[in-house]
Amino acid sequence: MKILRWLDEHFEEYILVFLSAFTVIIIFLQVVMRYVFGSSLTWSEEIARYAFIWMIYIGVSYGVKKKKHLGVDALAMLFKEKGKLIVGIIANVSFLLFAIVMTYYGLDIVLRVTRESAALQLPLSWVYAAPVMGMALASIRLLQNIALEVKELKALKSDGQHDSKNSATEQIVNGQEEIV
Amino acid sequence: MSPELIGFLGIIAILILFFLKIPVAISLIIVSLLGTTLIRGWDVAFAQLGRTPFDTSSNYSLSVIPLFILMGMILSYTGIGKDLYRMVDSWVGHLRGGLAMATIGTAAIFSSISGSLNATTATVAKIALPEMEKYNYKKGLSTSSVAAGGTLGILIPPSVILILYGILTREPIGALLISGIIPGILQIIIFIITIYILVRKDSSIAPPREGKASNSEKLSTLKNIWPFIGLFIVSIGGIYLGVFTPTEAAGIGAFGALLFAFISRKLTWQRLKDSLNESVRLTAFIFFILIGANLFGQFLAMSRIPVMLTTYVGNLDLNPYIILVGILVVLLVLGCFIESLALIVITLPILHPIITELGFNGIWFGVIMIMVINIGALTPPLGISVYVIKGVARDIPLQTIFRGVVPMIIAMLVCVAILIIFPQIVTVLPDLMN
Repeated sequence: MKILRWLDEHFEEYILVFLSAFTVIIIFLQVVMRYVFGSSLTWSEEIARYAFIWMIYIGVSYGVKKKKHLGVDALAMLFKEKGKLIVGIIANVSFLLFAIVMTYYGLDIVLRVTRESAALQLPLSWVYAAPVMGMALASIRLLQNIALEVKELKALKSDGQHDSKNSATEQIVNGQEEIV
Repeated sequence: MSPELIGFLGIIAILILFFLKIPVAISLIIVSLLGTTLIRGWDVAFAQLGRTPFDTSSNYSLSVIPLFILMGMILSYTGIGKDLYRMVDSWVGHLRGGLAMATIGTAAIFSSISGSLNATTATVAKIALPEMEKYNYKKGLSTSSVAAGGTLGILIPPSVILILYGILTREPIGALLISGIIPGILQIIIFIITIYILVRKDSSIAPPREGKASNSEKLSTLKNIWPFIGLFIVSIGGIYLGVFTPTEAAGIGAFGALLFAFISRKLTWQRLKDSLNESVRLTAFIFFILIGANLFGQFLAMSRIPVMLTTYVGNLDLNPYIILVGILVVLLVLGCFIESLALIVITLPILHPIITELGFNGIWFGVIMIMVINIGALTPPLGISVYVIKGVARDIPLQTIFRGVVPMIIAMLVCVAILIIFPQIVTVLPDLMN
């Protein structure tokens, strides 16, 4: 149980820390080799690219976990608490449907890919597995989010409507809606 | 149904999904999938869905995005905001309205580091608002200087939004990054002039401050921000001089930021972990939108809407500048309701071909477009910067903040007008690169 809780809280986090640090170091090494030693590493660009792909798709799941995917707030701000939750559930369900479709079709591609990468001779199915893994993880996170929102909605119905006037503002300040 | 009609309905559907708060990327993907199915069939739609995510994420030149984001995250997590404010304040704080000017300067530099409007506005608000309150600055001026300063990060390199513009339009990323420097500086100058005019008109909004920093004090404040200056010169200077590709420059910037964080001991393990995670989350979120944008672009191309509109506009017997102003007005209005990234993604596939057909420079239009859209960060109902400030300074009424930013919005429009009249301001540095 402890292991499951730890995985639930930190699984994506630690993979992302490793992948991002790894990508930065590899690209920096590449620059150093090219400009200082005058010879480039044949494998560095390839491995950085693959780490980068995995980073993106695990990051999608992490974004879902942290509830930080960009949505337009203009309409949501008009709703009371109950309305916001319903809109949130609709958004998460549509995201979930997409994630399931992506996982299904992605898996089909992974099973059909037989090629290997040019420099490292890695099976490309490992690379194509990134969207599958990312979307499968995102599906789990979305199910968690939907369950929490449904629970909140039920609690609201039993407690009666309470409108937190500044919730949109607080969300933004707490970094819930990170705009680039 | 004709492809054009399907395309038009697709655009309306996107906007409806946006306003239902369905994530931007998902909205783009759903509409593109359904639209492509209606035009070409399921097999084509799902073939694209299978291929596009991988093609988008495996584009190595795009790794410039996470690397610049990481550089910004690490630097902003080291608490550079306070050092920046102290530095700018020591140089201009003694002037009439100097604290507001210092806030603009701090926000400009910090937003270019962090690349995030929210992070900048929240950080600078926490540092600058108490300081201005201490010297009895009127709330309207103090909050508007924070809000306006935060919008400058989209211009001053390394700007993630300009990089995205380059990716979506295939304009050179290096040239785009460089193109924002002079317009960014111009916007800072116009903001400072605006503050000066406001203070001249009503001196009570910014009472004079006693004391002026000595030259040695001014120089000592620079020692805390040398890493940022160094990284900026190396990475952006390297791109400008053609020494590095944008990806290499970003790699050096990110590694340099990591190195500085370790040497200065300003970053705990927890903060390092947070900055790495935040930058990856932001990257994933941007790339997810990019995947949606690519699918949406393919769908629009199939619908022939961009070609149809470009032909129509090309045949209009109108001055190109009138059409340009019309486009900018539409973007200005939409920017009040839709976040900048989302708006850029849905409008660019249509607007970029029109702009090039009219004979305008794509890089120049990128800077103008992004500046206009960014005004939406200060205007109701979205006014993201205003809500962030409200979250930090809960005692200040929203009306006060919104009223305070009006002169800054005018200043931004003046800057856009100057850039339209004198496009060389944007294009001079990219032209010198070539």
